[in-house]
Amino acid sequence: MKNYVRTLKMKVLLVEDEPVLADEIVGYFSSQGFLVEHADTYATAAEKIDNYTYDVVILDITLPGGSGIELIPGILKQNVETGIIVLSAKNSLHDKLQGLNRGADDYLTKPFYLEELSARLYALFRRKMLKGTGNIRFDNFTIDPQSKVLLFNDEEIMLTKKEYQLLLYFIVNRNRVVSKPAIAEHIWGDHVDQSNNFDAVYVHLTNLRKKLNNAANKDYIKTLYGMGYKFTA
Amino acid sequence: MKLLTKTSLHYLWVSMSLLSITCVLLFSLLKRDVSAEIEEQLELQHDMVTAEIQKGNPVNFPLVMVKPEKSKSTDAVFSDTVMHDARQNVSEDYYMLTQSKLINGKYYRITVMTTYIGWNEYLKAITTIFIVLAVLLIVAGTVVNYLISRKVWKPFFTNMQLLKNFSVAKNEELVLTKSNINEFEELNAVMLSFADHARKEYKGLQEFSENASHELQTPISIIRTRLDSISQLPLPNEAVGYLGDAKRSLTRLSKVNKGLLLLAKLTHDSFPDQQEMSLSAALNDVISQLEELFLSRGLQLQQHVAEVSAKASPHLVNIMLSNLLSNMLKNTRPDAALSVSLNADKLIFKNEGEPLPFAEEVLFTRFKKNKKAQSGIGLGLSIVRQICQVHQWDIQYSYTNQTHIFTVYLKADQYPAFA
Repeated sequence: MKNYVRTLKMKVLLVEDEPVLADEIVGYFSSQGFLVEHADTYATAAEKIDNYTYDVVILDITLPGGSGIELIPGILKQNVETGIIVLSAKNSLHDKLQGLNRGADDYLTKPFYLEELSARLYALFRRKMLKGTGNIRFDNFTIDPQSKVLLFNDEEIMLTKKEYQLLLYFIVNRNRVVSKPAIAEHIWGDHVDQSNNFDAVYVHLTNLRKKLNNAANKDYIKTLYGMGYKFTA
Repeated sequence: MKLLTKTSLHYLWVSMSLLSITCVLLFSLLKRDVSAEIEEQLELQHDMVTAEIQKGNPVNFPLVMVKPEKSKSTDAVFSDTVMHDARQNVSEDYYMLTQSKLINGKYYRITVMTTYIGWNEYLKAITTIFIVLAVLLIVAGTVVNYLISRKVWKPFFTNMQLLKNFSVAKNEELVLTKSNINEFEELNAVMLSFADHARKEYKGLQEFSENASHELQTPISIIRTRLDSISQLPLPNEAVGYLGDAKRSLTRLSKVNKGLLLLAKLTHDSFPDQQEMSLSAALNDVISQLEELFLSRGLQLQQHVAEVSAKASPHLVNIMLSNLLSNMLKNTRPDAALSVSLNADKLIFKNEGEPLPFAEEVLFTRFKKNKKAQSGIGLGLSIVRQICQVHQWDIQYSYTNQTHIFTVYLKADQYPAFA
């Protein structure tokens, strides 16, 4: 896990005016080892963007003093490679398209799961800053994100697409209790009625757990009854 | 009863009464005048006969009878009589004047007669004329009404059809056909302002529900992240149970709220991402996403997907297909037959199952759901219908052979409702 953490010394700016949400996001990402700065108004965000370079900016659209969308050109002027995730309470396609057209990389609608934001953030960071390179390591496991292959002591462990997706999700959200609905939404998207999918989540999870267990003889995924699952490495 | 029939009937009754009155009037006037004329003629004839007798000429005219008598037997008396017509071999009505007169010191009883067309004949003729007139009036009236209904009422009926198809939820402007009839124009003006008003109210309501949903998003986000944070803490078992309940309810609340927000948007937003897209690819995508969920329930999904493209919003199409497939997944017992087919005209979803526990009409309304599928939020199918409406598609539901069938008609002219 150590290798993994070191590659992820990611610099993140969170632009969000809602104090409780900001507190949660900053708290969670800091605990994951990111450097997180926070701006709660348009003006403070603009100032920070002018003065520093970030790997990823998480941008709420409705801010006191202006629309988060207007900050996008400034961010890209500072560094074209900076990843931008737009947050919106509006779930409006118009906002989404506008954000993406202006140069945002991803879009997330409130209410979202912190784990989902974390997964998106990480995916963006890999794609833009690491250019998809850099293996992820934990214990004797190695994940090559480019070829989407999991190795244990250089020996490939066959994973289905969903198991692979699930493993990455858990690694990004390691040491955190993740609920079934959050996992289902990550895998099947939020349009699908998730209640159908909990059994399927369980099946994928059990298979993944078995494969990791067979290789390393260690249980990585803990079930917390009534709460969800927790990945520890 | 049609307005036209009603007015025609009134018109008919009035014409009948007027015709009857004039018929009686005509007959009696005619009878009076003709009788007077005949009497004049008979009197004249009488005078002429008298004159002949005075001159001492023998009187031997047809239809005249002169009888000398001893004393004056009668004053002038008009009366009817019947004479045999040898030519036609029928009895005919005659009118006669009988009068005793003293001529050259002698009394004569002089009777002069003339035939007159029987009043029965007159009555028959007049009645016939009036009946013919009545029939002609009815026929002409019907024809005129038919023409009027074709021409004058046409805008009225086309407008009525337009109003029938009008929905405040659709963003189409109501355009009514103009008419040169004042009353219809007034009605049009009233209908237009009514539709405008209804649409404004509806829009206001939609905006309200959209704003309300927006306002809920942030508190829901906060509650969710806080509950997730609580989940990270070591908790007594009791608290875990409570927390689980709270999170499940919150997930549900969040889904309902997102659904309502989407519905509100669907009714009045434009969808700028509409583009020519492959429906088949979208369908295959969603199927492959959900395939394992079907398999895990032992459900085999038959697929007949032809290559079809349409101008649509990929975002909405994805939601629509996911909802329809989720709906099948939720409401189908294991090992029931399921199929999805797509061709250029329609998209059909079929699944075997029990009949609906509620009326078909409410299937697409909000919060109507099968009790057995409590897990759903009850908005899926109304969202599907709204998405169809945005794309000017039509969705129909039917239940035959123990199979639920949802059909999305992709081409406007195929709507069975308007066929």
